[in-house]
Amino acid sequence: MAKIHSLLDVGKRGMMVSQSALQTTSHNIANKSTEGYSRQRVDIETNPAIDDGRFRLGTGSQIGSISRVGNPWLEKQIEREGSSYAFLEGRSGAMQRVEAVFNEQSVKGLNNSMSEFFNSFRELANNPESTVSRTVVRDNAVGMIKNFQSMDEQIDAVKNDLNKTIETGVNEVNGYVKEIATLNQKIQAAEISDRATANDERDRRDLLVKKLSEKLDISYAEDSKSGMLNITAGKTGVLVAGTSASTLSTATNENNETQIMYELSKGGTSVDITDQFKRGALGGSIELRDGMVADLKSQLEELSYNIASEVNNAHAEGFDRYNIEGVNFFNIPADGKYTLRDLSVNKAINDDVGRIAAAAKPNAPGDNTVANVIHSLQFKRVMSGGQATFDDFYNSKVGQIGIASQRLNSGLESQKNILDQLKNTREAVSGVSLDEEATKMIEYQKAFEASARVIKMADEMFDTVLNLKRL
Amino acid sequence: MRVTDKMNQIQVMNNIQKNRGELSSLQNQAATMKRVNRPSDDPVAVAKILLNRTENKNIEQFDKNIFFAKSFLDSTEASLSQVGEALVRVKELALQAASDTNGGTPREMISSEVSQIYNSLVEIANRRSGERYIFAGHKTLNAPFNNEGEYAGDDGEIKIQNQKGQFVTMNLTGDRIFLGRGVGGDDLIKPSTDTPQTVEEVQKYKLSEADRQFQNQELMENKIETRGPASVGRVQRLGNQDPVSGGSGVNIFTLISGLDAALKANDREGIQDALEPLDQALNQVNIARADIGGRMNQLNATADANQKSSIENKTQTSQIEDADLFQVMTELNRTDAALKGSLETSHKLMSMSLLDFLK
Repeated sequence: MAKIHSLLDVGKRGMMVSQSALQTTSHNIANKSTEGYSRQRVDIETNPAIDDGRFRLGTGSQIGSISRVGNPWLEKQIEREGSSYAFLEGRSGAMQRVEAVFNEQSVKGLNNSMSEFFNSFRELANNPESTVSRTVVRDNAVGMIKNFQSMDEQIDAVKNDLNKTIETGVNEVNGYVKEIATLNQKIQAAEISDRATANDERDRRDLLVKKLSEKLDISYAEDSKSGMLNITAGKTGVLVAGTSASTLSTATNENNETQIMYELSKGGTSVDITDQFKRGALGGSIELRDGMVADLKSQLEELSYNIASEVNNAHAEGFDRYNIEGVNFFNIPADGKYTLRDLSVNKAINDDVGRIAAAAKPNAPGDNTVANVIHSLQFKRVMSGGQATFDDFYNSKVGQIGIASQRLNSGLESQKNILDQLKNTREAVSGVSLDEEATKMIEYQKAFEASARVIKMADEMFDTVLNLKRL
Repeated sequence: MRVTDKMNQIQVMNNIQKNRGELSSLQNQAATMKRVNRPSDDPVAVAKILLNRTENKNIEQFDKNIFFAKSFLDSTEASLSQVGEALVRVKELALQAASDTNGGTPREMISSEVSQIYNSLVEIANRRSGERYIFAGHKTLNAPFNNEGEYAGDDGEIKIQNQKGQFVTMNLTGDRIFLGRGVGGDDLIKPSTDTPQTVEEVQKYKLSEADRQFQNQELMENKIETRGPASVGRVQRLGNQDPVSGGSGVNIFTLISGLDAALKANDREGIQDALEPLDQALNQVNIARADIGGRMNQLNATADANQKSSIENKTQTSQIEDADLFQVMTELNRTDAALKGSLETSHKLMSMSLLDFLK
């Protein structure tokens, strides 16, 4: 049999449910712009009914659960694609700088100074007696070396930048890892009672996993019992195991490359796990640094070394103004450890341009045979196993950089589209809509008002009952 | 589909970013007037542009070389034309002196003019272009001839590049023009016509040069000198062919100094003997002048060809590198309108909310 008391109860519970629902709605509105936030939904269900004679009598509502609205599969996809996007994006900035080093569309670069170098030998061949044309040869040689060296330095600067990116990236990763471990603990504590889900903590943890994945390759799995997330970086770097977090560190190797190190046990030895990263921004930086940037550096060295040694060989066949056999035109180390920093014009020639050997025989100031040989080197196929001239080699490098950069840009654009599309879908599912929340606010507010009215009505019913005698 | 506020924001941001990106790229094209501003704009075009630039710089240099060689040949030609005139005058004088009834001009007087001409010939043979003696072969910094007409230069050819892989000899050596060495079949080995372009070639060239010099020197030393009339001098042939060396070159200096001696000695036969060699000397000079003419033609032809390929080159570079301004401007207007459109609609899209109507 229905009792007035239970009516009071229904009203009270209704008010409480509406209030909780309103609180959640307010929470949604307040977190509309919070990164990684999923809108929360109050699942209202009926309170257990009671037997009322032949019937079951409803006793109002209660809150079943407060849950996140989201699609875990979508989140996983965003994490994957975000990692791929970060992999491209991590390279694009540095790639643009590399491209700028080889860009001769607005400034004069190596292509120009190589031309000038060989043309100065043509000028020398026109007039081997002239000190002026000899000086021009020397100055153009110095100019070409400067150009080579400045490109080399710029490439080194890009490399250092990438090293710095890796270093700061590892620091960020460590920050995320610690927070995830803390969140693991909070989630476990909050979810001990079987009905509660730690919505906000889980949102935050999902976001951090995405951010982590944007930095490097991770694999992760949630422990279904404790709700804790275990994360491994690369193949072997266990970052989060339950509530404990291990951090990565960086070290610089002999090639001035920043390596990512993982400590096998607390205070134990660290191993280099740089090679395990093929994704995320760090993976991108590592790939660019150890791939294209390192290649370009060695190719510039190869080009300059070949020019220098070919010119030296030809020059050695000649005789200078003092009828002495040609010295080395360029200084290059004989021990094979060649870097661009070592390249210079021989001091003897630098001090006295008369030492430039243009003639093929002594006592012949008008002989330009060797000068002719040296400038003919411009058309000789020396590079790539006798397939390409110096110019071909350099131009094809510029072309290759252009292609790489172009491909990266288009890859970045399409990956951004994919990611945007996924994020859009996520927003459609989990995002907060103010219109919707406003509607709900009205709905729950009205429900709250009506529940209050129920209590008032029950109160009046008590009055009616109590006043029965007086009637 | 459920559309939330953030979706609107992302969409608006993306569209505006995209429009601005396009606008900035177009603006850059309009400002630089170039379609290709970075290698990634068109990698294939960039490689081609660089190649064309190098080629153009080479052509510019070849043009300079050609101009230089032409002016050198011009001064050689001017000198040789003077030599020719001098020889004609000597011939006239010799003819005059060869007859006993020469109008009474004493041979002594003719001799003084001839020796004047001799001096001027030495002066011409030592002529310079800039700081270099044009007839000295490779020994360009020393006067090739002394007053006795002895040659101190060599037979080195100065080769100037006029095209990729092609060289033109720009000098004529004094031993050939004035001493008649290497003219006709005197067995002297001439310098190789090939220009060494690699280290291996230059090594071979050096060896063959040394060999050649040695053989030529031996040939000169072993030559049995025949003593001809004073007017013809030593090591000169009688008739068209030297009976010993087989050469047909004329040593102009000994010829003229011999003529001078014959004039002074009043040796009519000696003077007559000089007449035919004088013709041959003139011939020798004219052949050299014809040679210059041939080289000039060759240089002019390559200059024309270079000019043509330079223009083609520039046209091609412009086609692949330069922006089509009309197209850029059209695109610019279109993108500008699109940006304005997105900005305007963004305002409407983002400012609308149910909350505005719940009063």
